[in-house]
Amino acid sequence: MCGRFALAYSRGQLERAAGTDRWRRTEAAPSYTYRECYNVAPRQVVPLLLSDAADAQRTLQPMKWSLPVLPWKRAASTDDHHHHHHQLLQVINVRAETALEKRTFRELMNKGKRAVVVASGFFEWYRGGDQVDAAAATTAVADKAVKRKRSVPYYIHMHPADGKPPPTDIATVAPMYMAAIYREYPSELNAFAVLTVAASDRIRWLHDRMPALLDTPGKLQAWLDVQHTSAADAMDQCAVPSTAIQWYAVSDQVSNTRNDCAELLQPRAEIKTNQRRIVEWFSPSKHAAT
Amino acid sequence: MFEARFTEASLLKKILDAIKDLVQDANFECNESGVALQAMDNAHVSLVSLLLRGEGFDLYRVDKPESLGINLNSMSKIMRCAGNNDSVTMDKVESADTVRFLFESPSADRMSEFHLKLMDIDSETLEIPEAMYHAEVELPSAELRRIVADLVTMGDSVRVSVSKEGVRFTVKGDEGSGSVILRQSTGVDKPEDAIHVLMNEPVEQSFALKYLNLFCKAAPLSARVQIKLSRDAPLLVNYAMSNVGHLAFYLAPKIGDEEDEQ
Repeated sequence: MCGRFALAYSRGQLERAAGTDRWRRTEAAPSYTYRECYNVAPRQVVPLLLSDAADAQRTLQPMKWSLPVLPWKRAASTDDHHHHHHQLLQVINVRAETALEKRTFRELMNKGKRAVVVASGFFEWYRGGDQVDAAAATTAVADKAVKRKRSVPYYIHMHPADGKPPPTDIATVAPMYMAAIYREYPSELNAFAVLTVAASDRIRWLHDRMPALLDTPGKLQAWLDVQHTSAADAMDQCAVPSTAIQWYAVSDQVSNTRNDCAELLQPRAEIKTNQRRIVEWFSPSKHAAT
Repeated sequence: MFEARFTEASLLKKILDAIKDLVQDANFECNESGVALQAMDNAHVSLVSLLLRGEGFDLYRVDKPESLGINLNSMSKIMRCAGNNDSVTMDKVESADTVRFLFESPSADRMSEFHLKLMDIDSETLEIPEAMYHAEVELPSAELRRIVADLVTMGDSVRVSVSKEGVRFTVKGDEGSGSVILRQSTGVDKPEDAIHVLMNEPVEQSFALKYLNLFCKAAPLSARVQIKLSRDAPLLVNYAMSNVGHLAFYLAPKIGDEEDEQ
């Protein structure tokens, strides 16, 4: 899944990454002003990139992260639309593999409600092993800490073109484009959910799902171009897990959604941990042994 | 049906002693080519990879590939009941939920048998890339064990650097620091004591001594040990068991230490 991401760009950087400086004001949020956020959590409002229905120009529009949908059983049994609010589920991720099979999402896809989250990277929590960052600390206390199960947050970003470790300057790493679908509301903010795919082999050690990344200009354009790319074609393209990613462990501070500062993107090594994990090099094979 | 016989229990005992402190539970994957075990420690910092080739056994038979999920501590308890020179037969019939250990003394006048309950262990096999290493060092396993045992008393991590002068192990701790350097051997009067350093590119990486110390428990398995390392890749410590297979350990590096110390 993808439940937290970073949008560490200044307005200018975001507009460059989005390829547009056109913003669509919405009546639902007349006072919205963009501001970078290092810890974007569900229900927050962030700008999404989409193609304007009128003239097919790229446009940025603030939307709320969480898509209200009817629970599956209810959706199947009711044809009218007298939904009660308390029955709605808040969806933040939609599985790309089955998005076209589910009525709600298929409708949005067929109506061309495709957008893109421009992010600097996303966070995922490693829960597979015991905590190791205390291993470097001193004896008895450390041994206790090693045995305590804890999760460690990782920041995943696009792989810099030259293959070098991430520079501290966020602007030099390629932006991340996450495929999203959204629903329009006449008098409220539009709501969106991020599409997810099976994690690529490179980060399956970390988590089994990851956002659907549009990792080439062609894929990005095709996803945005709702006039010329059909729902099925768009879904096919975004369903390929991206391997153009890199990651590093970050501070536990990101786990609290109230924390929002540039330090959240600092490698954990600089904070404390310097022991890396074997799974960063060796990934699970698809075929079980024998 | 799975059946495997070792001429001497001591080999299996040594293997268990070498891995049971690193890994608690593991699957022994048995197929017609041999027995393989792969497991990570709890913190996912290191990986153990054991291979016992079918032809290395006295008798080896696998009708259908089997995955034997075993608690290594329990197996170790059972193996302690075998004399070093006893032969060991492990067998399991297809639907059984236990594996049998049969020990026979060399003179065949004493036999004992133990049954160990099998476990369902959920584990994924990791793909180990066929890496080109920047440097390889081959040395007596007792020498490596001594170095690690000496350095672990001084600090938590060791910096291993391979250069033209040889291989250097450096430790820094609260009380002080130390280093050991091994140079490429020139004389060959005692090949088993020789030190071979093969360097394609200079490498320098830091590793947790705690893990290296555990790896060195495999020293009784082989007189020689191979260390392979690359920049930004796990270290490989390999104990080859002639005609039988190997026990290899991979260890993820630590980062940051080099910068601190330069």
